[in-house]
Amino acid sequence: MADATLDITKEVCPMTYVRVKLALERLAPGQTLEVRLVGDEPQRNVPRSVKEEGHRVLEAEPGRLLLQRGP
Amino acid sequence: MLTEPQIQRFSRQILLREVGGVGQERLLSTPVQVVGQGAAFEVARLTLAAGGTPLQAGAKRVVGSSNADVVLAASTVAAGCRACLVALEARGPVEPTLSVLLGSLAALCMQRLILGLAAPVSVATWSARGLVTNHPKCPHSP
Repeated sequence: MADATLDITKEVCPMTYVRVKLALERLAPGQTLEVRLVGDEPQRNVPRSVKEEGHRVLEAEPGRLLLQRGP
Repeated sequence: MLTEPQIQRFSRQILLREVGGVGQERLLSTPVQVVGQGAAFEVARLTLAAGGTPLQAGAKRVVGSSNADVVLAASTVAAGCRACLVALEARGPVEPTLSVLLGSLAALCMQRLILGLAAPVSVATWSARGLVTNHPKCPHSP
């Protein structure tokens, strides 16, 4: 069970990652965020950006990501 | 907390690693007084405003004692000033491209100070001739 959930299925780039970034900022380090998404572009780009900013991708499957906020 | 219109308007800045939502909130909530004159002043003022920083009303024209062609100064509340400011002062004709460059640089310096990415400085001056000096006293301190 994630600490927070976020639905970005209606968003387009770059708002997909903006929403994820803002949601991660609201979490404490170590807490998790479940993201619901649709399409190849966010499925590919969101995990990459998340890792670049020091967070972790715990699970990645089509339409769903489980992220953990970094320190 | 950013509003939905603010998120939409500043989404490109929020994407930047150094800014994010927290940084954008700082930019939106730190009033800056911009003083100076000329193209560099206008560019700095417009750049800060475009980034969401509220501009305080204040004197636009400043005449200082420096002999430099252009003086760039940035300070923060944390450094003891009542208001954050960027001051640009031209004592003579400055090449337009340089003015735009300096205006952008001044705005960037101010934004980095607000975001906590640069050490607070009382006042630092940079002349068009490349001379970097420390200003003895912030002219806007109480």
